[in-house]
Amino acid sequence: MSRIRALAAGLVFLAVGPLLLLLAESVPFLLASNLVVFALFALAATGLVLIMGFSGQVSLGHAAFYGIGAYSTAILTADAGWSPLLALLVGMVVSGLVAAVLGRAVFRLSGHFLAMATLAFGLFYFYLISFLDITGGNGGRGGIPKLALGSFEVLTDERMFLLVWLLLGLGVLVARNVVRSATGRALRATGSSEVAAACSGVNIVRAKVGVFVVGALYASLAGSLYAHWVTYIAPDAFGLLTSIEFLVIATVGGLGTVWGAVVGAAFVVGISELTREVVPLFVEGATGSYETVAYGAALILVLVVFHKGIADAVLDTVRRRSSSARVVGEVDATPDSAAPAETGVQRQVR
Amino acid sequence: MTLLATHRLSKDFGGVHAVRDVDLVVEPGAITAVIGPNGAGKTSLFNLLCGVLPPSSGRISFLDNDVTGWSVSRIAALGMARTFQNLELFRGLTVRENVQVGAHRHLHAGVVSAALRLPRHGRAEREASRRADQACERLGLSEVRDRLATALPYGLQRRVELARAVAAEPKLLLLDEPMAGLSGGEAATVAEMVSGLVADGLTVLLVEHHMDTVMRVSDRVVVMNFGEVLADGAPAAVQADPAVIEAYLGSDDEGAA
Ligand SMILES: Nc1ncnc2c1ncn2[C@@H]1O[C@H](COP(=O)(O)OP(=O)(O)OP(=O)(O)O)[C@@H](O)[C@H]1O
Ligand SMILES: [Mg+2]
Repeated sequence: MSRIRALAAGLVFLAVGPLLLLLAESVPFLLASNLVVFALFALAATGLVLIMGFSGQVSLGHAAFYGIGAYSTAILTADAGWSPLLALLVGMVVSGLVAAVLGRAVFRLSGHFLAMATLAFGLFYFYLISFLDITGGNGGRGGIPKLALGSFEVLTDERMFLLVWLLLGLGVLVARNVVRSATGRALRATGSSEVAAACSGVNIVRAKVGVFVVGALYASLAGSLYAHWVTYIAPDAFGLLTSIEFLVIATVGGLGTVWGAVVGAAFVVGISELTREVVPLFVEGATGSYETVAYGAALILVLVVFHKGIADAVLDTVRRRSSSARVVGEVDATPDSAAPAETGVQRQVR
Repeated sequence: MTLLATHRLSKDFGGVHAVRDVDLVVEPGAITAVIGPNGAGKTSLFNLLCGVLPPSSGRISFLDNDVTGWSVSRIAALGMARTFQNLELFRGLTVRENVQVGAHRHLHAGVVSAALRLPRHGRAEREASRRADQACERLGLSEVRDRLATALPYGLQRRVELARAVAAEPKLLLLDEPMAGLSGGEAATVAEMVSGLVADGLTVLLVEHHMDTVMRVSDRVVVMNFGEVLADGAPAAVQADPAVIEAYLGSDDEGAA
């Protein structure tokens, strides 16, 4: 049953990619390049949904992993002449190792240290790439080849989007697999009773570090793809603002589902493009700050209306419809779980 | 072989000696009851044994390992499972999932094999389901397996706690008042189930206030008072011990419950 549903979701997902490209052709202010940004952000933020949904903590350094991927690709393909695939994998290995070290240090401590530790790490990384010669310092560096896998060259935005879209689909599938596993179950349990989970033999630190590493891999992959796409990268793309953007995407979309980042990125990228187009129509000579205000207001509105994110709200509606038909009389009666059955666990991916 | 042994195990909370110089030896294959008035230190003793509390002094050996200072999950992985006096069920998880987490120590598949759906992951999940279904069956929970654990009536929630611990197939099972708050009939059912588990070779340490149940099912009774072991022996002998009667049985109304 769940396998059939997953297959159907996968087919729909594959069909939506080309449809979005068609849409981009007919909507004047939607460009294929906007779609690439959307898919890259969604891919990176899917990793963040896993991390935050499971550890119950905020990560403020996700852009650093995005940067590790991007600079690994830049240095290894442009300077060392490696194949893109190999460079991308090396970037992921480095990101994974860094995440493992950082995660082990942080998750050992009780309390909400992840936000501070990742913030510090993100800033450290930002200053590092701003000063080093090999990264081109503040000015950044170029010369990164367009992505080519064998004879398949990804030169146009349309091709790039379809490739990232495909990887995004795989990324969501992998995230779903992690959620539906012993580790995922153990971490959901941990969110409810840490002591009972530990007494069941769950090594909580190891499980959280594992998910943190997997989450970092998403950002690294997205960063490598980004570097090939823009061919010129600079530190600004990997600073605190980008980390916050990932955070907003994950939260607005919803930490309760593996689709959260996809929905969140569509919304965030869509709203920022829309405000850029629409605000000047109402405010004569509007500058960037008007757009930012409108963009911020829209985000706040969404979070007020859907506390647990847009994707969560959509899925809940769908579930409630299909489950009210199937399981009658199985309604959760305890007062502390007045929410529909499956939403009992907040902030946890499923 | 000795399953569990503590040596002068102590725990202080500020000035309170919750557990004091306890030397406890548990041999395999029996029910040892730990009784004592409220605040005697029974739960604290359990928390020390499974690593939830670090001892102030003393040592714990379990299955020939000195486990003093080990992490909770490492001790659990070695084969110790427990239930909680105040239920600690996993909210948002079904009964089956709760019990599957209990079997966690038998699952050897990490995040990578799950992410890529390697055969290892499939084996682990089948193993988890098999063990969980078996434990649910033993505790009469098969019917409610797919319900949310915290949505069940209280009596069944107590049994889910038990099933979760049983699914670990532990070498030593610590039960902290598994019958608290149950009706006479429900308590008798649980007592019967626990006896059945022991008959199959499980070793149980049981904290319980239902005195007649304790005297009936236990092979040995350890009496605690003010953190210390006051008496230790066969149920009948302990019941007749004047010090015990004075400290606990004679003066405590709960003795009749
Ligand atoms: N975390 C703690 N911090 C401070 N004091 C504690 C803590 N846990 C237990 N105590 C104290 O230690 C003593 C023993 O408590 P414990 O819960 O072990 O007793 P118990 O025998 O399990 O009692 P009951 O039958 O009521 O469950 C009590 O005086 C209690 O107040
Ligand atoms: Mg107690």
